[in-house]
Amino acid sequence: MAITVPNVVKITGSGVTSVTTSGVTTTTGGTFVAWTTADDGVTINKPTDSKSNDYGTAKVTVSTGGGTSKQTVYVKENGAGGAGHTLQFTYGAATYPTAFFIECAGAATASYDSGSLTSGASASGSPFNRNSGGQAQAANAILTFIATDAGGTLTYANSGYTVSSESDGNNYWTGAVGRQIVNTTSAVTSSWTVSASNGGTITFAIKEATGGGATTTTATAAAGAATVSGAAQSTAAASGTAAAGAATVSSVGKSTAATGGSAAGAATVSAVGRSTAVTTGATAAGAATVSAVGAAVTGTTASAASGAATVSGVGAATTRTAGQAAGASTVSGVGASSAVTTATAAAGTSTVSAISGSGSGVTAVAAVGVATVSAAGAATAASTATQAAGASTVTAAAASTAKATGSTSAGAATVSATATAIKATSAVSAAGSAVVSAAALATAMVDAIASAGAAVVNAIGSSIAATSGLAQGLATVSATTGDVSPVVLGSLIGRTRQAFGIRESRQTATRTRVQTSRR
Amino acid sequence: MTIFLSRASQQYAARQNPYTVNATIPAGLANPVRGIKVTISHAAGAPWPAGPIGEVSLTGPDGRLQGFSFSGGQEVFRGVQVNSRSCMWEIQEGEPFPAGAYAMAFKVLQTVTAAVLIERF
Repeated sequence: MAITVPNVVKITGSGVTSVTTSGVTTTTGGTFVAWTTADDGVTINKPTDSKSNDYGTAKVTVSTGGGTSKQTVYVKENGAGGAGHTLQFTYGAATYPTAFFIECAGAATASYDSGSLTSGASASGSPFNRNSGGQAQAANAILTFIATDAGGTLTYANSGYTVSSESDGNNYWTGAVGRQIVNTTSAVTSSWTVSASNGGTITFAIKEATGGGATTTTATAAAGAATVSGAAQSTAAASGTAAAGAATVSSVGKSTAATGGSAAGAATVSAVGRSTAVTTGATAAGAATVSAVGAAVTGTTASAASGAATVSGVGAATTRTAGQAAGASTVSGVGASSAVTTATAAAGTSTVSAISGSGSGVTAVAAVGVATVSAAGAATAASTATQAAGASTVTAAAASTAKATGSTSAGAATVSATATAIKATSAVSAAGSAVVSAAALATAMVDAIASAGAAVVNAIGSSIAATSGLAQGLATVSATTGDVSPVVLGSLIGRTRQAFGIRESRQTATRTRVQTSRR
Repeated sequence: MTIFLSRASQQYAARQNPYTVNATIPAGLANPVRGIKVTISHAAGAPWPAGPIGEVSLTGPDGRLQGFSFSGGQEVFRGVQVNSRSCMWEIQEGEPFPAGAYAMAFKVLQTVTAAVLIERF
């Protein structure tokens, strides 16, 4: 069974010497975690468990840093569970605690990962960072705690975690617990935000039971519909497979391995909170859709052998976001794709749109038809629209630090409104027109190249290195306001050259060299 | 927050058998009970005697027990005199307490004068 955190029970007390949590139903074999705050000078005793579980010694005690309060955490591995399970916290004197009783189900028999434990206090204010120390195995529940000594009404938050907290700082020593299912051995980020100056933080991992990662949530139908819905947490695979008909996976809270829907008809994966590995909608024919994915750490793919493949509303895809189809292939609304965002269509339309940030490549490729990348906020590597025939367009790339390219063997290749292209901005067309327009800053090279037809570069604010238009037909560079160095070239190979904005002495030599080589 | 019971300050004699309050959470509430808080207070300037004073337990319809205990003396939190003791229970965050009969028991270990407030959230 995949590891989950089914129970987080809170209790608070004011001027108390003991508190007993509400009873909940737990599972035998689970890992139980007891956490509480108290006055710094008050002893926190080992908790008493209604199922007679012995919690041993505290894993760690951390001051909040202000000398007023502290927090302690106990862990019981492989505990006895059942109905009416309560935990009593007792203290050496009256205190003002917030306490949590947490159950991790599906945990390993020896689940506490001591190597992952990190803890400490800070008086530097929010955020309070406490990343895990790296995990002994990939499949884990990460628990991260914070306690502060601030008064007033407090709001605790930690991105990526499900947070339970106590907000009443006027009556209790408040704190919070965040939990997150992960599939990595790398250190997991924990960054608490809260309006407080002093805070103590603790983070560690509870290991999933061996074999838990192999557990899948699957719906399969030879014909008809296969549906998986409402899977809050799938640490292995959540998939719906149908030989014919529709396969749907929806409302998956967290999928740490693979989330997929494959079918001969429609394959749909929707509303996935976080997919740390692969989120795929695949279909041999019909529509493949992945939508509203919160965060796909590795790959988010919709592929269809024929028909439409769509990925939309992806919050963050840190590796790859792709739509591949023989028909229309679309990736839209991608918040941040730190590696590759691709829409590929063997024939038809390939589109990537509204990308706020792409760390490596943003590519739209279509063998026939239209390939478009539009409104890419920041593409730190390449923004490319390529197609064999038809139109290839990159538009409104706010910042393309490497290369923005539109190329096509026939038809129109256009790169427009590129705010900043630090390396190369080029539009290339074997036949037809190649246009680069309105590039505010091109620090390396801005090219429009057409072996036949028109090559145009216009309205470039500043081109620090080279700005050129090369064409068998019409080659134009216009309205270049500031070319710092070496070359501004409108090279006429076939017919006409016109309208240079700025020409420098080295330009003539270059043009001459080109013309000589052609002879 | 809704006040379920508010009892003015009165004297409670120490005794073996607890004082009890019984109540029922109806099924199908539009606003389910997600937290229960008990506050026991003394008059300002009239703290309870030192040592253990009371134990409070709450038993739900499924027999599940939750509770807290407290001592006397004058409590101070964040430099402010505190004239009460309280505890608030929640189940799994966001989940309601189950419908049915509840019994709250107050075991008084020393004779005290106290007011009682029970709130539901």
